[in-house]
Amino acid sequence: MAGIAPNNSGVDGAAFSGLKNRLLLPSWLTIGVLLVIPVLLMLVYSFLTKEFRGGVVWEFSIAAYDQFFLDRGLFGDEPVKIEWTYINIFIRSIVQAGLATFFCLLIGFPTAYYIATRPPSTRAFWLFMVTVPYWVNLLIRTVSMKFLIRDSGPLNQWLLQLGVISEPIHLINTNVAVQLGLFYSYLPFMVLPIYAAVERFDFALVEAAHDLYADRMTTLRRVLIPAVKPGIIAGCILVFVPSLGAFLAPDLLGGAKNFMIGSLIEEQFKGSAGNWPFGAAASMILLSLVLVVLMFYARNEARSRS
Amino acid sequence: MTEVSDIAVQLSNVKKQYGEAVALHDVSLTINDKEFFTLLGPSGCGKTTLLRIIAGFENVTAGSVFLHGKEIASLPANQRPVNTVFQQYSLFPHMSVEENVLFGLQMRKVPTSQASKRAKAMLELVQLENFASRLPSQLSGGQQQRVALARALAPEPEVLLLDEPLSALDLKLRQAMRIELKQIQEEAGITFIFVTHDQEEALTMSDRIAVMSAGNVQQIGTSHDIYDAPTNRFVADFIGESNLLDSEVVKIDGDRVQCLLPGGLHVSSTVSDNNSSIKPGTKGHLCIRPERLSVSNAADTNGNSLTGVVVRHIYLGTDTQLVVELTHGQTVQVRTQNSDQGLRLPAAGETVNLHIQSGGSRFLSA
Repeated sequence: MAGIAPNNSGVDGAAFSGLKNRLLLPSWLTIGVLLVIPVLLMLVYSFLTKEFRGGVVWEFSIAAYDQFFLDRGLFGDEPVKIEWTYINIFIRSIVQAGLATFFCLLIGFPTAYYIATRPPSTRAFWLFMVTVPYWVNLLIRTVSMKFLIRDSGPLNQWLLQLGVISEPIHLINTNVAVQLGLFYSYLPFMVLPIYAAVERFDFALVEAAHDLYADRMTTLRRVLIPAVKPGIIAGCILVFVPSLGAFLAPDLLGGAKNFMIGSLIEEQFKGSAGNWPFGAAASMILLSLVLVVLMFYARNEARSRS
Repeated sequence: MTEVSDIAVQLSNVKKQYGEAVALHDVSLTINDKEFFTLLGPSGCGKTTLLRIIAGFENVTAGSVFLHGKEIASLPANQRPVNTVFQQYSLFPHMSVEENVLFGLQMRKVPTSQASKRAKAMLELVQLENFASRLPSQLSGGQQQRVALARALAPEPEVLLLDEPLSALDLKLRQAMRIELKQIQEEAGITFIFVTHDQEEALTMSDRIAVMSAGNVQQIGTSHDIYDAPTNRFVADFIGESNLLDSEVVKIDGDRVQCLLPGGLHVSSTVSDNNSSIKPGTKGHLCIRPERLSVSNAADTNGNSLTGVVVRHIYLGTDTQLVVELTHGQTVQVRTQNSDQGLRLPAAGETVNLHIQSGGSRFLSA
């Protein structure tokens, strides 16, 4: 009977689940080839021994992680101390990325709010304007920024002529310049998700809040911001994570003193001076850091949903 | 003359324009304290605009708004002691039911223990005390509506504004809520201003109704007043069903008038109080409610009867409606209760006399 009578759904369950797996294959392949395998490669490389002219020797070693965290002296016979050089680079990167996120939020939120509250016919225009600079390659934009802010660049010339300053502000090769570069590079990643959230926001709720004696600031704090929080968090992640690993802005605007993780990793794989296992280890540490941030977000999200 | 303290809201010469478009022409009305007052009218008549002006969401173009004798037209919405129940409820989606009800109390800086007691009492009033920790999205439409009501009542507003709060509910729930709303209003002892386009809703709940159309108030009165004594054609037509027959005044007879119908029939009818402009020759409409007409066997000659041919029967459950074509061509609706067992309804094509019950016809000049 079972072979003849159709089951309730009228579909052969087993055959269908086989088809489902085959239809999902492209996604599995994409994730596998583009995500899982490269990360595993990096993980493996970080535990190999370095070859002097770049590349690796296939021999297990934790030298890369050792070099990252510990200072064993020049000949490895001194008492073990913590190596601060790379940890400091990480801390600087986190601070820079955090500040970039903060400034992007500070400017991006009002921008997104402004665009989302325009008449629907003009919103597309404003969104387009936000994205226009990003049609130009990031490298070119960063180099241009360098020309704009250098001591004899237009910004300083202009301020000098106006008499606001008596001598050029030295911006290039400072943390401020790196910050400026990061902020400028990632601002739209803050604006767009917040815009999407504010656009979906029901502004009748603002009226309801005013009706219940809330002033404008309280309405912003207790009604608008909680309602668009998912957009704000998405924007913060989209700015913080790439800022943390950025290397163009710190390389071109920050110079040697204002190294960030991105530049550190980049250097390990460039030319013959590099150290592949060390670069891979730094990458894995960066990846763990990012994962911690994302897991924190996911847990927060799950808690607020339940 | 009513004392100022008996008046909750007074609007004088309120005008509202959006660019060229006029939403309210020149509205003046007085709403008494602890009254259930309804603004009734078709969509676009300005009733919601009027409510939003009282709430403070819209500014008046001209005129003044008084709340318990105090001019409030210049006060922002968050400083007016009135609360609104919104058509779409507008509950804060990220707050629990209790937090929603607490919101207004917190904004008014009510001490925490007192506020939570008040919130609890409000949730009990709307029978949602077991739903305090739910989110609005976990409630049905009817429950959300109750939360909106509890939230608006919690800060003890001087006037509660309700913007078509029942329109999103299904019929059964809507009917139950009508009675409940009226009860809550009487219990809370607060002035309610209720906006609706549903005349049945207005008639069942209101102490007084303002019928509006095209930015003007057409008539203000009790349910009885506006149904039995409409002052103009719009009100007669909008509230319930009416037969509106073209007619002309031929004689004024004390507080009644003799009207002439196109077929040569004379009908004696009442007129609205402000009848000073009516004189012999005034053209207008005779308004007769379908249930005030009855089929009679003998024609009477004292101006209380019409003659016509039955065109069709419409069975309506409790009633049967007859469509009768009068001798001059206009048709009228006649309503007969089906519980009248002994009554034989005339068949289609039969000629019938229709008796107008006393006080059943009313002459409207406008």
